[in-house]
Amino acid sequence: MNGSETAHRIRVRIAEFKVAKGDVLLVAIGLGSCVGVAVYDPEHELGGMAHILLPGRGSSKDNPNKFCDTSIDAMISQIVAMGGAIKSLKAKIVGGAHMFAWLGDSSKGVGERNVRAAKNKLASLNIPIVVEETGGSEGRTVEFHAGSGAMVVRNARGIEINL
Amino acid sequence: MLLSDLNTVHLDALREISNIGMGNAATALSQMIGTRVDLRVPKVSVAAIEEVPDLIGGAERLVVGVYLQIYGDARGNMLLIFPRSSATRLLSMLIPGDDSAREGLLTENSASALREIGNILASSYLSAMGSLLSLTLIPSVPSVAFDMAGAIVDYTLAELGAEGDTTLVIETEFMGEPQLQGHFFVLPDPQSLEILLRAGKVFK
Repeated sequence: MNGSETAHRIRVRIAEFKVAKGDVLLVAIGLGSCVGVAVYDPEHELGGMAHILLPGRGSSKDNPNKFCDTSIDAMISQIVAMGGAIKSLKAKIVGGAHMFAWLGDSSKGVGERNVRAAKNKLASLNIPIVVEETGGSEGRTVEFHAGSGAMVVRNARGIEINL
Repeated sequence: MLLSDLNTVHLDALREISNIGMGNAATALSQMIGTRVDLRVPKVSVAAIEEVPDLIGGAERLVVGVYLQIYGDARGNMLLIFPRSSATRLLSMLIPGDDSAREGLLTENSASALREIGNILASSYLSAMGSLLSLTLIPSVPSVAFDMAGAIVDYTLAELGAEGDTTLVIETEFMGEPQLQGHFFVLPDPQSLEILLRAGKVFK
């Protein structure tokens, strides 16, 4: 389901997004409190994934892809520019764990805030979230097949979930 | 001050300050586990945040991370990273018979032992650095996670990430017998950099 064995793999690092067409796997390795937002247009076999570090939007001097709102905006513009139709977009979100679970209040919930920010942003764009695998206290690696929207999420213990 | 304002004199000063602190930490670790621990001269670099997971051998590598915050006159984050094999060896020295890190999850006992290692390393590092610089530097209670390196690091980066796209990384490696390896990261808050450099008399 998740693309062929020969699918080209593209790494999506922290504060990056990648958009691809067809048989391409977009891979975000080791999402902790970061959130991976995958948006795809199954009709046009086009998809993108953003590896977001922080909620909100950056000021002009920051890397916009570090922040939820600016990164999702830029990714969707690119999907549309490559021929995607905004009305057929769907989303899957992964990550936002609380890695150091019992830390004090000051640092509580970057992961949770990232997930909330991603949901709010997608809601404001009327992009439905078909599935999510968020929260908890474990890191996740995500492989997202741009053409079909199929996704595999794996944790450090080697447990895989197909989304 | 901005990280881009750091010159070689500043970086050398930070390396020297850290060398003393980390030497102290290595001695403490060696006494705790009863074996010799060597230390590589610290590397001080300014790295783009997306590169940090690769500095510790790749984002998917399974590691034990001990995370602490630095409080007091200067603030920042500290992160100790032990590859799984080294964490397992450390634990078997401290708690004979424990092999929880091999199983993929930490037991309460082993997490507690690793927190204690983090506490000792951080305290000895900060107290050496503090007395050198005449600053009060206090470690928070440590927190432990056993997971993919990327997942452990991104949390720390999120703490710092709002400030800029690069981070100062002061990194060293412990090497002990039998084959013990650990990375020690100190990520000062940008505002605290100036305090550290001023106290080190390399910043006017």
